[in-house]
Order: sequence, then C-alpha cells, then structure tokens
Amino acid sequence: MDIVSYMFGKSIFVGMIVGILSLYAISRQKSDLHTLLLTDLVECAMLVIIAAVGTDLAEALILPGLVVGLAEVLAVSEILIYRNEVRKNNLMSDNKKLRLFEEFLAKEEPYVNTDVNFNKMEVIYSAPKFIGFILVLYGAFLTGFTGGAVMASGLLFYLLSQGAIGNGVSFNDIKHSWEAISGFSGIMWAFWILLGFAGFFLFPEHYLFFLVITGCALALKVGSKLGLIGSLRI
Amino acid sequence: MDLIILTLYLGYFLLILGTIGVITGPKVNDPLNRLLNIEVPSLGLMLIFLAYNQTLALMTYIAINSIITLVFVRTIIKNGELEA
Repeated sequence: MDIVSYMFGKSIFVGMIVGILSLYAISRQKSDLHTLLLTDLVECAMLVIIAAVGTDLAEALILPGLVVGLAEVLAVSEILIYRNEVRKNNLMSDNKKLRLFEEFLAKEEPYVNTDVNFNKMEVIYSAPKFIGFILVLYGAFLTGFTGGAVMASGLLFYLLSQGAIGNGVSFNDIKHSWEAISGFSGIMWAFWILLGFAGFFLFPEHYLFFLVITGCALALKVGSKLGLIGSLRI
Repeated sequence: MDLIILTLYLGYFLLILGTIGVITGPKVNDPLNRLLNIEVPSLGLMLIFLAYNQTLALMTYIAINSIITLVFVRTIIKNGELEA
C-alpha cells in the first residue's frame, strides 16, 4: 500500500480539525485585523486537504490557489486600511495621502555622527541591480507560476531598493511604465491561453513547442503582474 | 516507521499545535505576536508538502509566504498608526 492512500484519511482529518478550529476562532473574533490573520490559517487547512490527494493535478491546483490567496490578502488589507483611514479622517478631518509599502522606504536620511558619506558607497547602487538581475534570470529559467513569482520578487526588490536609495522617478515615468507593464501582461495572457492552450489541443503532434510557449508566457505574465506592486511605491 | 511517514506526522503535529498556539497562545492579542505564531503551522504545511513530494507547491508556498508576511506587517503597522 503506498503512502498517499495510506495517509489520505489522516491528512483529511488533520485538515478538518485545523479548519474547524480556525473558523471557530474567526467566529469569536471581534477585531478585523485578527480575522484577516486567521484567514491565513484557514488557507493552510485548505492546502492540506488538497495536498492529501497527492497527484500531479492536486499540485497544479495548489499553485493558482496560492497566487489567488496572495492577491486576496493584499486587496482585503488595502480595503481595511482605507476604511480605517476614512473613519479617522471623518473624526479629525486630517488629509494625508498614503502610499503602498510606505513603511519600508526611507523617509529621511538618518543622522550619522561620523563623516562617512553613505551615498558614495558603491555597493548600495550596484548590489540591488545584480540581485534583481540574478532573480529575474533564475525566474526565466524556471518558467511557469514559480518562475513568475521568483521573477516578480526580483523586480519588487529592485524597485523597492531604488525607492530607498532615493533615485527620483517622475510621475509621468511611473504612469507610462505602469501602462506598459499591464499591457505587456495582457499580451502574455493572450499568448498563454490563445496560442499556448489552443495550439496544444489543435496540433497535439507539436506539443513540445506549445508547451514551451505556454510556460514562458505564464512566467512573464505572473512576473509582470506582481512586479506592478513594486512600481506602486514611488 | 518510514522517514516519510515520520515527516508527515511531524507536519501534522506542528500544524495542529501551531493552530492552537495561534488561537489561544500567550499574548496573542497583539497582532504581531499572532503573525509570528502563524509561521509554525505554515512550517507544518511545508513539511506535509515535502512528504507528499510536491516540489513546485513547496517552492511557490515559500515564495508566497514571504510576500504575505510583508503585506501583513504593513497592514499591522498602518493599523497601529491609525488607531494610536
């Protein structure tokens, strides 16, 4: 008896226990932020139940579930902050613009007692480029969802570090690059679905060619979509 | 007992214990503590992925988990700022 069918019942049982416990905790919870944190636990339970099936299809179902979960958490947290902000503005009528990932950016140069000029350190300027380049290359080599996620983390890291260094990018540049990246992502989506999948079913004898097209287009699509988060920060 | 079965049982153990820790752990009224506690069940989930030999799911989960932590820390900081 192989391990997947031997452990199937136990895995489902553990997943159910975790799901029921966390859903019960959500029902007892008053604060919205805590509810959002507990939602992450429910996702764990869901993933265990899917993983218990143990086939390749189950693994393929986990990947979009993870990416959708990330987008969900991002959107819900944004709405939560916006609502709290509106509430506070109604109380105090204090207008302050918020930007995404503002907390991770240097707002002002820290005061340093010595005469070291940190802006002259070469490694601050060259290292982010190098690390971002390596991550993007590795993501392109992996292809698919995972490659897209790795590529996106490279783009995100590069853009965040540019913001922290303080390389000013004008508003028009951001608008243009935003439009360009989202358009590029849409074109890659068309490649993935229309050319890749349709060709896969219409011409099964050339399956390898269409498989490579699908994998590369999917990697570029996910990479550019998540990379958009990075260009929001400036 | 097999090593794979042991890994799987360790994953179950961490998952259930971590869930109880997240729900009724010490000082979980602070959102940051709750966020740190969530790392324990996610580690259990990673061990389960490892035991089921789901490489792609494991790698993607690690990548997504780090980004989600970033998003949650941002939300917690922002929320604390707004409530203070």
